[in-house]
Amino acid sequence: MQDIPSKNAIHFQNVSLVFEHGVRLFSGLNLTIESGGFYFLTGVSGAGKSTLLKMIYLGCKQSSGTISLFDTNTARISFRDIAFLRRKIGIVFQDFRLIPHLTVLDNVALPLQVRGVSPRKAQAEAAELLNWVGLKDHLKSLPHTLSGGEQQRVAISRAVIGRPKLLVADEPTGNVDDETALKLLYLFEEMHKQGTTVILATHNRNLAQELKYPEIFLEKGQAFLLEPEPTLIKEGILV
Amino acid sequence: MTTHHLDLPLKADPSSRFLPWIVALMGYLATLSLMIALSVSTLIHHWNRGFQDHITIQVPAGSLFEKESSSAHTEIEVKVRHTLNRTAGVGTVKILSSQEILEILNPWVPKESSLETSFLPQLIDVEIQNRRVFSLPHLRQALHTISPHIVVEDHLTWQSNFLDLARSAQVISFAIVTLIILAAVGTVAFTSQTSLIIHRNIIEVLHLVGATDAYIAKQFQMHAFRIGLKGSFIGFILSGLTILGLQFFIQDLHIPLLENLLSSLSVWSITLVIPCLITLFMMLAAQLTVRLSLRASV
Ligand SMILES: Nc1ncnc2c1ncn2[C@@H]1O[C@H](COP(=O)(O)OP(=O)(O)OP(=O)(O)O)[C@@H](O)[C@H]1O
Ligand SMILES: [Mg+2]
Repeated sequence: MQDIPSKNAIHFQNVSLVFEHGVRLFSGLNLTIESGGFYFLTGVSGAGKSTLLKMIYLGCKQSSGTISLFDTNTARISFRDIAFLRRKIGIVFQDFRLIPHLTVLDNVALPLQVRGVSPRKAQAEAAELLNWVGLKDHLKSLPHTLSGGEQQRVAISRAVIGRPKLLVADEPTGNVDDETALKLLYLFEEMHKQGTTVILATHNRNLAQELKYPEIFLEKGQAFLLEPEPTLIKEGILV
Repeated sequence: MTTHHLDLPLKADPSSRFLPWIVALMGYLATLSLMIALSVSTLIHHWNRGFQDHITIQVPAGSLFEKESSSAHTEIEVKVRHTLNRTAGVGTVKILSSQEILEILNPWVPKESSLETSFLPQLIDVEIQNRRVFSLPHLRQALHTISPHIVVEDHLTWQSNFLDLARSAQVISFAIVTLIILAAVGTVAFTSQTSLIIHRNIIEVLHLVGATDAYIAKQFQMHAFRIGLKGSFIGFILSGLTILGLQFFIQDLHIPLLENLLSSLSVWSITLVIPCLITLFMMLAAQLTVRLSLRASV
């Protein structure tokens, strides 16, 4: 796959998703996410935020319609290229999905290691990143010995270490205190400023509206793109 | 440094505990099998060299060199020689001494055996120079008229019978080695598939962080390599000990052919191929199973 800059990071066209037992989650969903953008993905619990992200990182296949990533139709990608496409995507899972028998350091180094980076170099980079998110005392710990918020930071470190073109994060600030949440949001903003497309799923619509970024709102199997309305929010805060 | 660590905890799988021992058993049986095949080869070689185109005329003990009737023996001997001289296609004729007879039997008869030489048949070794003009039935008939006790043995017949037998033994041994390797392949395919199911969550994460099927398959291959090497070399060493034990046991019997075989360095170095083959096939089986299974599960 060539690395020419793509206009759209993600393009959903008339996408439907019906689960095995016949339950329909999305029907005729259209969505365009521009490269380099910063988006919040909102909706009530069960609206399908996690599932939409899953379709984006090719973790589940749509029932109909087309999904393009970086202007490439995902239906036409070979098995091998799926792996290379996923290397452009950093994923923070809602349930972290850290590998239980690997140390924090090895978990974070993993995306680099599967790319063929030498273990020594991968671990050095992972250590630096973990130091930055405040986990330098836990490099050799196993994930289950960490608190929920600490595990979340490990998960975020693993998602960003490969400098992805697209970062999808599912409730990345759900388990941390406000101060840490702000610090993590700052990390995501930093990555956005460096050109990464960022999608943060959250059920906290206030957070989304405060930060003046566009919001993808999921409701009844459809996606609505809401542009930020700075003045309204300002008024709201002032009132 | 953890340069060789596996992202998948395959070592903790239940199969990792028993598989090395199964592989050890396979390595043990395969090495012994190959050893038998090689021994038979050496044996065949030995015989092919030992007997070229000869026939043996056997005069049962007591009818030729008996002290009481040395005149009778001379008479028969002269007649036999005379008949042979007149038979077309016959080359050198040699009456074997009892010492020479013992030497021919050497591989089978203990060296210090105190066989009563007078019980041995008297043997006349006859070289056949030209099979095309030589007629065995003709000679048999001529000798029968001298004495009905005389037996003519054509090496070509029993030698080829023996070779057939030896070759079948060889084929069976190689078939056993092949079957054992196939069994190793099957076992690895099965345990790899089980491991894929046990670790499907981790494998999914590996895929999502960008691992190719090849990367995942390599981990299984590395695991198979460790188990294969460990197991089959344990089997190889055990089979070596068995052979050495056997050798120690038969040493007292002084059977030179077997002694030579078992201490032959070339036989040992050839059998070293067994653990290597088993390990190699196990690695290939792991690699192929994982790749095909991952492909099928997409
Ligand atoms: N594999 C599946 N099979 C059947 N139903 C599923 C499957 N995955 C998700 N769902 C259903 O799809 C709906 C959306 O789930 P999803 O996890 O995407 O919601 P969400 O918006 O992320 O919710 P939350 O805010 O609680 O995380 C839920 O009703 C869920 O039960
Ligand atoms: Mg969710």
